Amino acid sequence: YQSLSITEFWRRWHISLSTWLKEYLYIPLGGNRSGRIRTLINIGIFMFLGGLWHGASWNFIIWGMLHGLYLAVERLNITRRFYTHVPKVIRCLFTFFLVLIAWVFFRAESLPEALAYLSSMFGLADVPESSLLLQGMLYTNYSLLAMLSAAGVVWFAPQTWDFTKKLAFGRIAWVGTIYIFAVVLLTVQSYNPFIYFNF
Amino acid sequence: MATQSPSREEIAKKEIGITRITRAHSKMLILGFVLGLFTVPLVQSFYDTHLQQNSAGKRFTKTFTVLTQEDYLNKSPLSQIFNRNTQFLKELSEFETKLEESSFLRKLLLQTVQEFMLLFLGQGNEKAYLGQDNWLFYVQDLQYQYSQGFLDSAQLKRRSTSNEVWEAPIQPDPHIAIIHFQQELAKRNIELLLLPIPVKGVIYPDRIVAHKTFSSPVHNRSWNEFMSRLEQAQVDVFSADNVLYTYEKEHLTPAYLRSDTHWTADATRYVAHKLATYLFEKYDLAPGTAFFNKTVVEVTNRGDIADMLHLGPTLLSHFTETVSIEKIEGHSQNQSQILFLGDSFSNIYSSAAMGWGEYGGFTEHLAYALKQELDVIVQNDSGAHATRLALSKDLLRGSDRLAGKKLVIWQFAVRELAFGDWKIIPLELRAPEPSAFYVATSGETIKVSGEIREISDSPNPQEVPYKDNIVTIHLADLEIKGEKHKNQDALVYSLGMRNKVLTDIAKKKRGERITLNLQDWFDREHEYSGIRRSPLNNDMVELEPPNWGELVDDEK
Repeated sequence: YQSLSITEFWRRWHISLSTWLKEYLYIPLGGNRSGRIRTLINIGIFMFLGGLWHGASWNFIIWGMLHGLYLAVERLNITRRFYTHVPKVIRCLFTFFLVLIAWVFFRAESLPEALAYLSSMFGLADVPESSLLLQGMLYTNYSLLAMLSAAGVVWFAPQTWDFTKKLAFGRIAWVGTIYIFAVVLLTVQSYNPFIYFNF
Repeated sequence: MATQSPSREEIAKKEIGITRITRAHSKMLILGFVLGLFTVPLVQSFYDTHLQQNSAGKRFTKTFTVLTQEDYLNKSPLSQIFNRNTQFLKELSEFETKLEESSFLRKLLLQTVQEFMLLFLGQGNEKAYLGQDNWLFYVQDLQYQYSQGFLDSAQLKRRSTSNEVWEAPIQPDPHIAIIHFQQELAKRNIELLLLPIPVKGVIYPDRIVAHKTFSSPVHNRSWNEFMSRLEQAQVDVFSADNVLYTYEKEHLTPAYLRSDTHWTADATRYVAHKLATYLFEKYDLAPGTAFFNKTVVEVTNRGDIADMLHLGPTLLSHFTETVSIEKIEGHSQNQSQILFLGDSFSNIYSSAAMGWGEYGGFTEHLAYALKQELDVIVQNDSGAHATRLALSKDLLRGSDRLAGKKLVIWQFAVRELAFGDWKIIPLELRAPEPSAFYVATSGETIKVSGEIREISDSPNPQEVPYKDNIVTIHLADLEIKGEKHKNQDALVYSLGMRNKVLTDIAKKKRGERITLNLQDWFDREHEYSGIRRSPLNNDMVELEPPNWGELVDDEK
């Protein structure tokens, strides 16, 4: 989520999958060396299969194709002016926003549900009074603190890769503390299967 | 020539295997990691074997059922494989659950973490939500309110396919079941009155969230459609919403218990009297003449939601409440114009097992207001089908609970609309048939051994709001008072969970031989009929006359 573009996002996200797809699918198809149109088609195929890999459901395919569209737009340099003139923080937030839109399709159980969710996000859906309950339950001090902490870790904490390149006692102690904290929290919750088990 | 910065892949390739760390720190990390991996199972094994007297290996073998002849008889090879696989998946799931629950780490940490979360962060857990003024709400009740409409077609479809492989699919549409039930009763010229009781959050949304005002009860988004469809189908509904919503303003005392899912004793009495007034106005009931005595008793207890928080005794004591109940002398009899079907909202203050006193609950006060006794079938949990199923079984056994009835009142908690299994249950009266199953003589306690042919599932104590549960056992190859009766079977009800702890009998498996003290079920029915019971899968065996059993010891 520190990415300044969707292209950069895919260099950071699920690297094993994207690298595999790139090396065994995108490059054999010609990559970006067969002209502009062919490149766009290859991106489309690449992201279609990347979405389909997550599950045989329209919402995963749409998620993949949406990212394909984002990548295609960036490849066509349509957004070049945006990426060169706009401050980094805006680019980062905009990329995050695009990724969030796509995540709605990824996590929704069906296409109608994804569309309903998006409508709610943009204030276009009817909101029953019962939803105010949920709003009230989510916007508590604890939840807001948790979300702010997560945002702090994502955007301001050092990358794990960088942090662990040089391990001194202080960092080891810090890592150990976080590890114990994570184990404690996992222990007191119900069993949550690894989400990628389904894949 | 402009130098390009290397890509992340190039950086990664350069740096793989290069981490600057001293040898001592490296060894420390490896040791810490390996210890972390192996200490937990080693300590757990020691804990199980020496402290719990139940090693993981023993737990593993006890979880998985021994195959019996019944698994092979009259079944095709494919069917045997399929059934065995389904059974295995179910037992694997049970094993994983037991593994999680018996974790020493969990036992060590849960209370401390929960208390910290509650005191310093104002957080409950997955089952209990801490609202305003330290009011506790059952999370499933809140989910009823804010989740997808329970009549939404996508939601109905999702629920109908949400069962595990070893479970039967549920029937999620309440409307279908209610109309069917109404039609079945109409064949006997009996009317149906629905009594859906709102869950706490419906009446007290302002105690769930701060800084928001609500002008009316906050139901699930399908509620209005549900009521409208019932009106079109001419199903009578007594709406307790409006009565309870204004209760606190009028009476200056809450309508619900602070730390429990249920209503207060005062609110129970109030709604009962309001319902009685409605019944007198709407239905042609013969005037009652029964005379009841009332005694006021104070009861102190802790709410069921508080128990879900896994707190220590000091913090838990903050959630005790005291209520005044009015005990009504007199119990239900079969000769009554009204058959009342209810769940824990009717059981509270009525059944001692719930811990809030007895004989002072909803049905007692309704009977008092109507001046007539009621025929009552009440069971905690599963208000969507449990009491209808009990009624159906009575009819199939030849016991006509509907004889002489003009009205059936069906009470259930509204959360059942979103989560219940609304089975379609026919009401077929059969002539009583002599049963080959053994029943203990009334008034006696008989020692009986037998092999468990089938035993019903117990709930996961951590997952359910109720404290007690009865298991059902099909016992075969009996030995009665030392005499073998090889071809005789018995149906036994026994307490499988008490105060959220599974009893020894709940841990028994098919194929095991056990010894029980049996009594005629009807000798103990008044004590235990209100407790939720897990039925057997075999519907035919379920119709046999039951016994009440208490485990003596087991023979292997």
